[in-house]
Order: sequence, then C-alpha cells, then structure tokens
Amino acid sequence: MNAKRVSASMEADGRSFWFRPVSATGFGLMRIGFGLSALVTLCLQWPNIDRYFGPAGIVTQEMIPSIVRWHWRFSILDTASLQTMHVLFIVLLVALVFVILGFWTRISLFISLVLLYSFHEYGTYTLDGGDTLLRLIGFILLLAPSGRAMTLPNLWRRIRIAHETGSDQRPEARTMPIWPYRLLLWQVTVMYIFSAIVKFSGHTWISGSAVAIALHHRSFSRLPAAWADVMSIFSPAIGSFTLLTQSAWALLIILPCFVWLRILPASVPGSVKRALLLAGFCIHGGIFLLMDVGTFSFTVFAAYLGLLLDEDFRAIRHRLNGDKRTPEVVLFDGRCGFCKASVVVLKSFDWLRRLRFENMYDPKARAAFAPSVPLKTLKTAMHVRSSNGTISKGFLAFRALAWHLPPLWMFVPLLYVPGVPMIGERTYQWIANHRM
Amino acid sequence: MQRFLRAAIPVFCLWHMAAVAAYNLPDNRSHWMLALHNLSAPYVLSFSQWQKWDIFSPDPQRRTAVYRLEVAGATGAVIVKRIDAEHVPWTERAKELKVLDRLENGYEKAIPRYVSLFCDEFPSASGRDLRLVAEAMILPDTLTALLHTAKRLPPVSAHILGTVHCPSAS
Repeated sequence: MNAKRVSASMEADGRSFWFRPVSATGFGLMRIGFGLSALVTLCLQWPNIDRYFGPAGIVTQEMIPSIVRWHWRFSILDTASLQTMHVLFIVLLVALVFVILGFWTRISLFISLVLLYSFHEYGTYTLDGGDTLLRLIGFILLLAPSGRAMTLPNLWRRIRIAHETGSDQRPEARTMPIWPYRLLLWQVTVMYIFSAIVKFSGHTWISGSAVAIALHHRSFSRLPAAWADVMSIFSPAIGSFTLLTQSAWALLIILPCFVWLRILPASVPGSVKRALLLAGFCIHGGIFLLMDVGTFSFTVFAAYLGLLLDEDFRAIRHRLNGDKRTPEVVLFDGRCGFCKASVVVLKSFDWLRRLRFENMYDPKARAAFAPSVPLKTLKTAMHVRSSNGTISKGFLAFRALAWHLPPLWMFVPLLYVPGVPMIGERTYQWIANHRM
Repeated sequence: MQRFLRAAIPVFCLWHMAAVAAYNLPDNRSHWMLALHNLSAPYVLSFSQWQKWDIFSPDPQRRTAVYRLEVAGATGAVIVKRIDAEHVPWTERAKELKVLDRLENGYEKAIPRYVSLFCDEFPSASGRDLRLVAEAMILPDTLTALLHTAKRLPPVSAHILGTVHCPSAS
C-alpha cells in the first residue's frame, strides 16, 4: 500500500513537473522578440546577401564541402541559384513577420526556422552568438504552443467579441504546459554556466583586465581609446560581477532540489531567477551600449522574456506599482463600438494593471471620477483621470496613458517632440468625429 | 495519444537537455566526455542546435585588426578601401568585421574569393593585383598597461592576407 502511494505521489509530482499549466504570455513575448531580432539581423545583412549567401559569394557552392562541416548538415542554399536565394530570403522575412504577429504560428515558425537554419548552415562564417541563440530559442518556440498568447488574431477576436456583445471583461490568461519553459531555462543556464567555466580557464577574467581588453578592441568597442582607458578602471568590478552572475545560474538547478526536499520555500528559486535576469539585463544592456556585437543583446532579452512566469509578472508589477497605487481611470463612450474596441486594445497593453475603465454614461462613475466635467464634454473625447487627480482628454489623455503601457514606452519621448501634440490632437479629433 | 504524449514529452525533454549539455562539454575532454559528445552530436548538429559559448572566453581577443584593400602599382600600393569601424556603415560593421575575423581564423581558403569580389568595384584594379592587408596590434593583458593605451598604443604590424590578379576590363 505504501509503495503504491509513493508511486502515485511520484507520478503526480512528475506530471506536475512537466505539465503544470503556466502563463503562455512569456513565450508569446519571446516569440515576438525572436521574430524582431531575426528580422532586424537579416534586414541589416540585405546589402551583402549576395556576398554572404550567394552561390558565387565569398564561399561558393563548390567550396562548401571543403570549408564547412559536411556531416549532419542541411541547407537549401547548397543547391540554390542566386534568384532562388533572393526568393528564399524574402520568404524568410515574410515568415518572420507572421511569427511576430502570431498568424499560423506553428507553420510560420517552421518555415522561418527551415530557412534560417539553411542560411546559417551555408554562411557559418558570418555567424555570431546572437545568431546561435536565435537558432536555439527558435527550436524551442517551434516545439512549444507559442501561438497561444500575444497574437494579433487573439486581439482581433477579443475586439470582435467586445463589439458584438458589449462585454469588455479582461479575458483569462492563456496557459501552456511548463515543459517548454524547462527546456528554455536549461538552455540559458547551460549557456551561462559553460561560458563561466571557459572564462575561469583563462587569466584575464580572474586578473580583472578582460573587460578593459574588450573595451579597447577596435572592431567591437564603440568607445574612443581615451574613453576606453577611463572605463577600464571599472574592468575588475564589471568582470567579477559578470563571472559571479554567470556562475550563479547554477543555483537554478540546485535550489529546486532544496525546495523539493522542503528545505527552502518554493519562492526562493523564482526570486533568484529574477535577480539573475535583472543582472543579465544590466550586463547585456551595457554590452549593447559600449560594444558593437550585432543583435546578441536583443536576442538574450528575447530569451529572458520566455523565462517569465505568472509569479514573475506579479513580482514585476508589485515592484513597479508599489503596495498601493491609485489607478488611472479611463472614461470612455460605452455606446461606441470603436471606443469599446479601443478599450480592449488598451487593456491588452495594460501589463502593469494600472488602468481602470469606466463608462462615461454611468452617473456613479462620472460623479466619482469626473464630477466637474459635463457629459457633453466627456462625449467629445476619451478622458483620463490620473492618479494625481488631473484630468486630460484626447491626445493628451493618450499621452498620459502611454507612460503606463509598457508596449508604448519606446514611443513616449516622440509624443513630446514639438509639433507632435498638435498633429496628435488633430488626428484624434478626426478619428473621434468619424468613429462609429 | 494523450497518454503517449505524457510519456514521450518528458523523455524527449530529458534527451534534449542531456544532448545540449553533452555537446557543451569542454574541449579538453576525457574519454567519457568525448563519448557523450559523439553520442549527442548527430542530434545536435542535425537540428542546428550546435553552440559554443566562448564569446570573450577564455580571454577576450587581444589581437585587434583593421583591414584595407590596396591595388599594387608600379609606384607602390594604392589603398582603395578601408574596412574598419570608421569606414563601414554602422549597420554592416559588426557582420563585416566578424567575417574578416573568421576569414583569418578558419576560413583562409575563402580569402582570395573575398578579395576577388571587389575587382569590379575598383576600375583601378583592372589588370592589376588587388590585395587584402590586415593592420593588427596586440593589446596588453594587464590592467595597468590598458589604462594608458590611448597614450601608448601598441605597435601595429601589417601583413598581407591574400592577393588576387583582377581580370582586365574588356
């Protein structure tokens, strides 16, 4: 009986370990990051694709067997003409756009990976760490249900439902089994641990001069030599921090064992992971600012997104929102289909859960949040009551909201450029006058 | 089908994770490390999961080079193109310099081909030798020396990587 109970318990633990449902949002974001990173990398190579990948380029098709690894290798480009290569390149770019938007995700991922791998296997001499990581996370994305969340078809479906039913409820979070996350976590951990092991076998990372050497490299560094000299003062500290954080990824393998043995609380590995992701963001962000190493940093950030689970999103929200935060109240026209659709879009961008949506036709909502604004004025544009009590409308309301919507953060500086508010206001008015 | 997947997925995941780890085992492999590597290689290579995390490892590259193309003439060499951070557009710089670094390290056979592709770009190279030259310096590896690199640049040495005779324009 005991053996049966133990066996059943182990089976349940095993099922939970591989199939526990987790948020699919992280992988949806990683899918978008993968697509964008690959798209940018390939577009930057457009001026040189004939030289890098053409049959009569730097490496010709005849040279391939003697220059490139020949075993366990496949590339469509081995037998493709120049025109075919151009067509395949365009198809790859289009497939990546479909991956980003989330249309026919599995098929578009399959096509983009077959083509990406073909280009990589042909032009191996052009590859860097970012290209390698793209291949690795692309493979995991293909295996995972990465089209469950963060797709345009999903958003369109929600808008349609809101339009037809008038219901503007935030939908339930989409989930996936945890096993793709475990594959990704293992891959990223292997990447950092083996990188740290190799660094320890050298001497400049131990002596503290490694970062200084990299900063003085004429091919990689963005800094003039004199600035590199100054920044080199920080080389030992940055080098030690890098070694420490890369080695610390091993904790993500060790700590869960202590949790399983009930020695540590379950929250510890998650906290350590978030700390490592933050450290990695600082390191790779610094590499991007100071060095020109292609799109490696962005590909790493894409992988990091895939490592975010429900508890991580909650922790990030809590860290950014504090314990208690007054929401930004959006007063919208509940009788306007376009407005309801806009609310769906805003909700989908409201990753920090800072917005509260109220129908302007509800007298209680008007009394609570905009008592001094007549209904006639409310009808002319969307109004936003900020947490500090100020009320803005139209484009200015949109600009106030942009600060709280992470997908729009990169556009916030543009919204303050002289001339843009005037254009924005006129555009908003035109849309408001022609909305259905 | 569900029961099959519930059994197959964990087995596949464990295989994939083991293969990725085995493929990354260090170069100075013992007998068993080599055996594991060889066992995982067909799967890892076939699905393009090959990887080597040696960026700036074990030590960052101390040799830093800039490149130039020059046409050999009767009165000496004339530089027709500089390939370095200042002369290559920022959108292409990382890849082009990576390509040149690889041509020097492992893809030497492709150097003549790389040079010959520039023959058409420079009419002055028609019927003449076009060569690729690397100007390299070795950065110091001690912090005290690196702090003063701008004032005391290491010596630069130039060497020819490859030469091709460009066909005459007809």
